[in-house]
Amino acid sequence: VILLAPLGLLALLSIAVLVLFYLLRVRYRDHEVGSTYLWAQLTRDLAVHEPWQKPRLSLLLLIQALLLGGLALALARPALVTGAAERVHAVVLLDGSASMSATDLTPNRFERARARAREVVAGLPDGSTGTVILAAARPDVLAAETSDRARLLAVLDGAGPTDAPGDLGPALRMAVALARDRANGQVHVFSDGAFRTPDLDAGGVRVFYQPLAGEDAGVDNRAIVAIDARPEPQNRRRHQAFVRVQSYAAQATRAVVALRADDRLIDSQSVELAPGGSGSLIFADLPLDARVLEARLLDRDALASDDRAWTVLERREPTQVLLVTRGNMFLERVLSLIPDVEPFRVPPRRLGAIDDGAYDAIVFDGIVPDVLPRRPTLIVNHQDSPFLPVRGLVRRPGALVGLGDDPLLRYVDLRDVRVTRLADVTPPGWARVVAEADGHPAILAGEYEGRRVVIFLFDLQGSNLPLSASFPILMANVLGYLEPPRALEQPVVRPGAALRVVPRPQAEEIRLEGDGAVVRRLKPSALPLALDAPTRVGLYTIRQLAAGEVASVDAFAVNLADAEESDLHARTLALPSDDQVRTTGLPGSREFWPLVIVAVAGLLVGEWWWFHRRA
Amino acid sequence: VNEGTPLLAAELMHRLERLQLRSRARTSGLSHGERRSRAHGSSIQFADYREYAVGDDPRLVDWNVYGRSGHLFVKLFEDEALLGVHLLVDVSRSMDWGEPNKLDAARRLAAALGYVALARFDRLYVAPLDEEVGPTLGPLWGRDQAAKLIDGLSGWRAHRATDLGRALGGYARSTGRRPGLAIVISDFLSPSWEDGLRALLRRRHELAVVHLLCPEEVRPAAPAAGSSQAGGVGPGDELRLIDRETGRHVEIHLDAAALDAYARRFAEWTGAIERFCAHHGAAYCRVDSDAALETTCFETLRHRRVLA
Repeated sequence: VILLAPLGLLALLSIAVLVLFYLLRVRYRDHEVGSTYLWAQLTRDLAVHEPWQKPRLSLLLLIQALLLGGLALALARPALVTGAAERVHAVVLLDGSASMSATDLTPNRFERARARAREVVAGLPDGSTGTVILAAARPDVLAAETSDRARLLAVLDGAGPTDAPGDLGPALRMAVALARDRANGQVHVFSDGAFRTPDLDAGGVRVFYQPLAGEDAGVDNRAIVAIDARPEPQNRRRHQAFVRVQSYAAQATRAVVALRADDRLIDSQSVELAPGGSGSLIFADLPLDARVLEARLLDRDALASDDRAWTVLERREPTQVLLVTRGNMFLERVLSLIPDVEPFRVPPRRLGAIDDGAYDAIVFDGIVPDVLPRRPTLIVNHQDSPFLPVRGLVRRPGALVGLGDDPLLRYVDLRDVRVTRLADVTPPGWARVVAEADGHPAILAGEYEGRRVVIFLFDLQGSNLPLSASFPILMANVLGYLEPPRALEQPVVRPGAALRVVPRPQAEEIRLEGDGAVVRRLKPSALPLALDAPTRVGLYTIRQLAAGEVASVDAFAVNLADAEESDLHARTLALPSDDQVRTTGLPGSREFWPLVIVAVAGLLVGEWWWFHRRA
Repeated sequence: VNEGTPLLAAELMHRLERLQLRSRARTSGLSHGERRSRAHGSSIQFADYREYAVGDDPRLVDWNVYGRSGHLFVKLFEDEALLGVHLLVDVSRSMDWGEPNKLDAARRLAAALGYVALARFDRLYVAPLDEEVGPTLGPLWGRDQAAKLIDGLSGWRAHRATDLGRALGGYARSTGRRPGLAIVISDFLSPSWEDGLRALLRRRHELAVVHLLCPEEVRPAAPAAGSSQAGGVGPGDELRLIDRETGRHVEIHLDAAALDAYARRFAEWTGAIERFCAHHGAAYCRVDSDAALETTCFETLRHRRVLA
C-alpha cells in the first residue's frame, strides 16, 4: 500500500482537536432534581468541574475518531501497488493552451493539472525516469529524461499556461516517441481536451489521460472572435471597426463591448447572444488619427484571454520611386499615374550623388549598374552586365506570351504586344520567366540577394506595350511587387504563431516590446527574420533602431480568437486505441480510497444510530 | 394531587380506625380522648367503649360486654387525657418532585395518620412547612373532622424552598407549653433539619420522623418507575443537575465512581438522621414514595412503632 497524497494524513490532527473538544467542552444534559443538597458535596470529592480531566472513552468518541481517521486516510489517496513497483519512464504532457487558464476549476485548470502531474511524478516507483513536456502552440520539453524527481517537480512548479491555441498532436507524437523505446514507457496527458483530436499511433505505449474540465464548464464564457478595421467607403481616411462576439453559454446572454482607440474609450455597445450564437457590432466614426483599436468585453467570465482583442490600422506613406533614365516619356507618365506612387527622376550620371537607400524602389531605364542597389529594382531595356550577361539580341521575336498565372500579369493582356528586339539572356536561378517571345525570356522576376528584381529584356520605345491599355496595369503590378515589404506582414497574429519581421536596411537592432518592456532583442540581417509571436495576448511593437535612433515602430496585436480554446465545455480526448486509454489512475497502482469513504459513511450511519438511540 | 383521586379510600379509612398513634406522652386534657390518664379512678364517668388493643390494661376490659358479644372492649372515661398530635408536612418545592411525586405521597400519608388521630379523638394539628411554617389546620378531633382534614391537605401547593430549622423552630414556639406527639413528614433535604428537630424536642414534644424519599433519590441511575427513557438518567451520563428549589446547578459525570460516592453520602445522611432520632428517643421511619399506603401504615409504621 502506498499513499499518493501523504499530506492528507495531516487531517489526522483533527482527531486531537476532537479529543480536545471532549476534554474541554463536555456536553452536559440538563436534568432537574428535587434538590442538589447531596450532589453538591459530591462534586467537591469527584472534581468533575475541573476543565482538564482524564478523557473518558465513549463509543461516540471512538466512532468519531474512526470517522476522522478514515477521512484522513481517504485524503491521502491510498493505493495498492499492483505492478511490484516496476521502474517506468513517464512522459508527463501538460496542456498549456489558453483554455487551461479557465477559472471554472479553482484556482484554474492548469493548477489542477499541475497538482495531478506532481502526484504522478511523486508516485513514480524508485529508479523511474520522467520527461515533462508543455504543450501549447508547439511542444516545449521542459525537462528531458531524468531520474531526478526534484528537478521534475521543480520544472512542473515553474511551468505556466499560455494564451496560445492548443495543438496537442505534435506534443503527443513527441511524447509517444520518447516513451516508445523505453521499458514501461508511459504517457500521462493532463488536458481539458480543448484541441483537435490528434492522429496518433500509440504503438504499444500506455497513454493515461486525466480530463480536467469542470462539470459546468463553458456556461458563461463569451469571446471576441474577430476584430477588423477598414476604411469607410465614402471617406477612405476614416475607418470603421468590426467586432464579432461568440457566446458559448447554454442560455441567451448579453455582451457589452467597449471599444478603445489608442487607449481612449470611444464607444460601447451591447449585443444579444443566442445560446451558442454570435453577434456582430460595427463602430463607426473612429478618430482620424487612431492607430490601435482595442475591443473589450466588460463582463467577467471563466476565461479572460478571449475577452480582449486588438487591431492595428494600416496607414501607408506613398511609395517613393527613383527613375534613373536619360528620358523616357512612357515611364515618367505611367509612374505619375499610379496611385500612392511618388516618382523622382535622375539622369544616370548623377546616380552616384544620390542615396538610393532613401527610396522604396529604383527603376533603371537603359542602364544597368555593376552593383545593384539594396533596394527593390526594376530594370527596363536590360544591357549586358556582370549581374546578368547578355549573349546577343533576338530580332523580331513575335508577340509576348505570359507564362502561368504570374501575379505580375494579373489583368494584363499581352496578346498583341510585340517587341522589335530582345536581349538574349540565360535566366538565372533566382529569377522566373514571367513572359517570353518565341521561347526567349522577355520579362524576368525574382528575389536577388534579399531584394526583389524585375527585368524587362526589351526597350519600351521598341515595343507597342506603352501604347496598350495593359501597360499601366502591368507597371502597377510590378511596383506592387517591388514595393518594400512591411516590417510585419500581418498586424494581427495568434499567440505563439510564426512572426516574420523584415529588417530595415540600416537597422542595427530590432526589439520586440510589450507592455512597456523589451520582450526580446533580435540581430537584424539581410533576410527577413522568423520568430515566434508572444504566447500572451496583448499589443506589442517591433522597434527598429538605426544609428542609435528609432528607424521604425510597427505595432502588432496578439489575439486568441480561437473557438476551440474559448469553448470550455467538458470534452473527452479520443485517443486511437481504447485499450491504451485510461481515464484515471497511476502506473502499477490501484486506489482504494472509495472503499475507505464507504466505510466512513457506514461509521457515520453508526454514529447517527448511536446518537438517536441515546436520545 | 390528582383531583379525581381521593386522598383516602373509604375502605382504607375503615381499616385505619383499628390503628392508633403510639405515644409515651402523659398529658392532661379537658376534652374527650382515648388516651388513658394517670388520673384515672377519681371522679370518672363512663363515656364510651373501644376495642381492646395490645397494651391496654386488662383491668379495664368490660367482661359483661365480652360475655354478650364475645369481643374484648375496654371502657373509656371522661377524664381520660387527650393527646395533641402535630402533623408537620414538608411542602417545599423539593417535595413536589419524583416519580411517584413525594408531595402526593406525603399528603396521603398525612391524611392516613391524621385520620387515625381523629378516629381516636386525639387533638390534631396539621401544618405545612417550607421556608417557614404555614397556616395550621386544627385543632381537629373526631371522625367528622376528616373531610376538613382532607380538604386542607388537598389545598396545599409547593412554592418555596425548604428551611426545616426555621419552619420547625417557628412551629415549636407556636405550640407554647402544650407539647404532644410531633410527626414530621419530610425529605429532610435541608441542611438545617437537625436544628428543626432539636427545636421540637426542646418544647418536650414526643417526636416521630417519617423520612419520605422518591426512588431516584435512593438509586439515581435506576430507571424511574413510570418515567420515559428519554427523561431518565443512566450510567455514563454527563448531567447538569438543576436544583428545583434554588435553580442552582451541579455538573456531574454519572459514572460508577460518582454513583458509589452518592451511595456513601446517602447512607451517611440517612444514618445521621436515624442516629439522631434514636439518640433522642424519637421514632424514625424511611418511606419511599412508591410504597403502597397500606403497606406503609400497616407494616412499616407499625414496625417502626409509630402506629399501633
